[in-house]
Amino acid sequence: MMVRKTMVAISALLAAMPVAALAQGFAPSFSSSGSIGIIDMPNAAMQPDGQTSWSFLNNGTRSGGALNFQLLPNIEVSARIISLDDWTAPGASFGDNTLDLKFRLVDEGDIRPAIAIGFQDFLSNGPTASEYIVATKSIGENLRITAGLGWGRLGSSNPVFSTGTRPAVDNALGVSHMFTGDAALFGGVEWQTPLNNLTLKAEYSSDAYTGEQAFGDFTRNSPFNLGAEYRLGSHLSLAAYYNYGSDLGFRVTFSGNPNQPITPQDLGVGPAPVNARLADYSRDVSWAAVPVVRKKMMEILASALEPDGLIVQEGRISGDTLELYVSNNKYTRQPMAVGRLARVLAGSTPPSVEVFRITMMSGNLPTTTMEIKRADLEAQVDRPNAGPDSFNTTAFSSAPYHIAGEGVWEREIDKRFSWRISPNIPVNLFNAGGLGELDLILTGTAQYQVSDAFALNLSVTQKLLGNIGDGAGINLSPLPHVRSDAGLYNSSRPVVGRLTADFQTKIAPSLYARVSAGYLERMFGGIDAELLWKPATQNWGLGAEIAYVKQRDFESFFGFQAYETVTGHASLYWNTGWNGLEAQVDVGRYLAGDWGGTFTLSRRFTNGWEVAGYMTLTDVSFADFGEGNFDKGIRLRIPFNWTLPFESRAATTVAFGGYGNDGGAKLNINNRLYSTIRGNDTTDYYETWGAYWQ
Amino acid sequence: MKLGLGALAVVTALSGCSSGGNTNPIISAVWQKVKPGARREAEAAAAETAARPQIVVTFEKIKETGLAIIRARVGEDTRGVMLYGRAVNDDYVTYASQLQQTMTLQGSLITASRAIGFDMLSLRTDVGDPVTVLTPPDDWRESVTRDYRFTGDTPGGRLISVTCRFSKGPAFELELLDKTFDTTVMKSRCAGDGQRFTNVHLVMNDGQIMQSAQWLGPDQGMIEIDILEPYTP
Repeated sequence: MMVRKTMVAISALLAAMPVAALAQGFAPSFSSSGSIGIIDMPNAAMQPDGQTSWSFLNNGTRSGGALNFQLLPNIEVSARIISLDDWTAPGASFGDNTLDLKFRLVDEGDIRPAIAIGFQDFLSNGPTASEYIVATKSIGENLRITAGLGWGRLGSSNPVFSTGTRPAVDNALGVSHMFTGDAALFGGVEWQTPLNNLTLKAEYSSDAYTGEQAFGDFTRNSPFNLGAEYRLGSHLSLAAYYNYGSDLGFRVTFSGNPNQPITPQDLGVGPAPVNARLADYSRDVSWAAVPVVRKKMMEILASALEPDGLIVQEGRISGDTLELYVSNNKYTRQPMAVGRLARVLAGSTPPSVEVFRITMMSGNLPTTTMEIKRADLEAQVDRPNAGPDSFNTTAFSSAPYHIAGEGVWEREIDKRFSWRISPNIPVNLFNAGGLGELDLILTGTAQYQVSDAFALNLSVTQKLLGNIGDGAGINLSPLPHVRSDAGLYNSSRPVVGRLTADFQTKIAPSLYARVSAGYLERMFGGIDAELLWKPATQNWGLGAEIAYVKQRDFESFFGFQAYETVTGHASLYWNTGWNGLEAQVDVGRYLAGDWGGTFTLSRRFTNGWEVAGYMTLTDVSFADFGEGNFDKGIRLRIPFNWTLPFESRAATTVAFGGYGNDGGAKLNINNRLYSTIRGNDTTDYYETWGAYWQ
Repeated sequence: MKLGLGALAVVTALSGCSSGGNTNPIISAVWQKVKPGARREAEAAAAETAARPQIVVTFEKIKETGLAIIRARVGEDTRGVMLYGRAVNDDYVTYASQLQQTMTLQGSLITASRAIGFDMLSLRTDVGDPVTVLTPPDDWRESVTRDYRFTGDTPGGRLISVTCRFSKGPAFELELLDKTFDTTVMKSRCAGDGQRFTNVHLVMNDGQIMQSAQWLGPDQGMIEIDILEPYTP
């Protein structure tokens, strides 16, 4: 029997067929503390890799915020800033900044549950410190049950056995308290209701809430908690709880995933198709003997690439080789810029040009040179294995500061003066009970480019509205007040944030140098010098920085206070090449004269998202440091590209922590060498090379 | 006055501007929607479009161009966009639209897409895959394996390997442009690496696929193509 249909009827044929990913269980939900869990108890569930969530928390005993990040598919990290009510005395709250970690040891199987081990307030014996082992199993599509064993706070109610004597809470850094003392059982159930996006929960808690009941009104009448969570789309969830027979609480959580952009990506323009040269293509190179022809070719090439955000800074074309120094002002992933450039060159240069030597610039600094053979490009384009093949046939090397030799075309500095006005929204989550303070600031920046290496920079800010620093009290810090007077630097008038002369250059293909002098940042001025050794083909580098600085006046544009110091660090940078993880260790003297080190671990995603956590330990005692004991925080960088359906290199950064601490404070220099050139070594290119053919 | 300056400052702050003349693209898009007269302009543009003589595309006109041409439709789109053959590399023909959205086909199998949403980097299939070479419906093999590659953390990107099993469906009279074609429905049910999907092809007796719905990845889903003028060497 013949079926007669119109051409769009193929859609109807498809409608009845499975055209989707295989079904997955219902999404993990958050606990009242902003980590993945049941209500007040944890579970072994995990979010999708890279998922990042920010929660506002409030109940009868605590309020605050939590940043939750799925660091790796089996590691969950939560940074929490909470205010514990009535903790040290009636009406006296305690600010607790904690880092929680959870490792999934065993994935869930058909029969076996997922098993995880976790640490709340990792490495610190603080008020919320606890450790646990937990198992979670889905039963069908809509039910999840959890059972676990906890120590510390999670072992404080109805303990079943004991593993030694746990030290009293003293906020001390260490591991001796872990998995010691009483251990107690907890458990719960989560049910995905038929009402779409609504999850109901119930749990048995092993937390006795001893501290909260000592001075406050809170009474723990029951070990049972009830909760409901409702998801509005994939980016917002709301939850309400009835805890311990006496307390109501709520949570609001915003989520995003670097691997799941809000909009479909790259609705812009595709790359230029490439046709291979004919077998008998002209090998004639006589045109290359005429300088004016070479110059004209470079000018045409530079102007043709400019609308695509690829700015040729230097170039030289010979009979068989084309060398280009290029700034990428458009594409988030450098290989995408390189690939598109190579395609254009394959279609626009004389057939005798066999080698494309492309060097990508970061600011005014050339970083990595890639040598691509045209014949390889033609043999790989459109073929299935083009990605790995093209990476294997591309030769990477460190770029010299300029193309050496004669006949180099150089772009004139046609825009010596440039300026920009943009909004800035600094966030401080260590005040206002963890609900945070924020400002809306208008920032004007201007630059005068004296030469390719030397520039004058100015930054002026005007606070439009906000509350950062409004609640600043008397500063009792025993250290030099290098950051703790931050509130006094707030002004309703225009403020010169930066006025510097900056010199950046390359001393050798792998050696970068920078000197900045003037008003380096809002609180300090002076002179700062830096060296960085970072070969392009190596995944690690070494840096050294030293600065002599004086503290700036609170109010005036240009005055200084009496405090002056020498600060500097030696740094090790290591791009692990594994899941986008990078590590950095800085050792040296900090602004308050304290000596110590900072460890930073960051994860960068191929689309530009970055989450970085850091901790600084110096010879300043925990008592002198004050609340939090030592400096730590998390920084989040979200590219606009993630929210837009076209390519853009712009990004916004939000920092959590590190505000107003004198111990472990570094200069805020925004053009440090490693941050300028990072993303350009072979490890970075390897991780993002999939974009080469995009 | 003070309030006005404040509002101006806030607007400036939210939009951002620079000596390069670049304004925030989101603000630009919103401004195009809300600026005075925007509605009138939109109505006038719509009226102008409606008044334009409708171009009727026929197979004869397509033949006259001398180009290999396909038409692609994504999602709710029923009109589709024309893509013209622009590059040939071995068995792979790359088609591009006027907006330079590109699609690469091996025979009638889509092996890559660019700027149509979420890119499919490449697709490898077995030699003799009936979607890549002219194969009459009765001669289609039982199955093939295919390797899809999408953007990921390595040069090879994220690999999804599937096994596709072919099955023959009913006869199908296809109306396409100004002609009618007697075709056979051929389905390929594919599964592997956590994905499951079905491609559908309407195949002529000589093996030429005239219309096809193919999977472009877990994020992009399906795309439909009409092979209006196949590439011939």
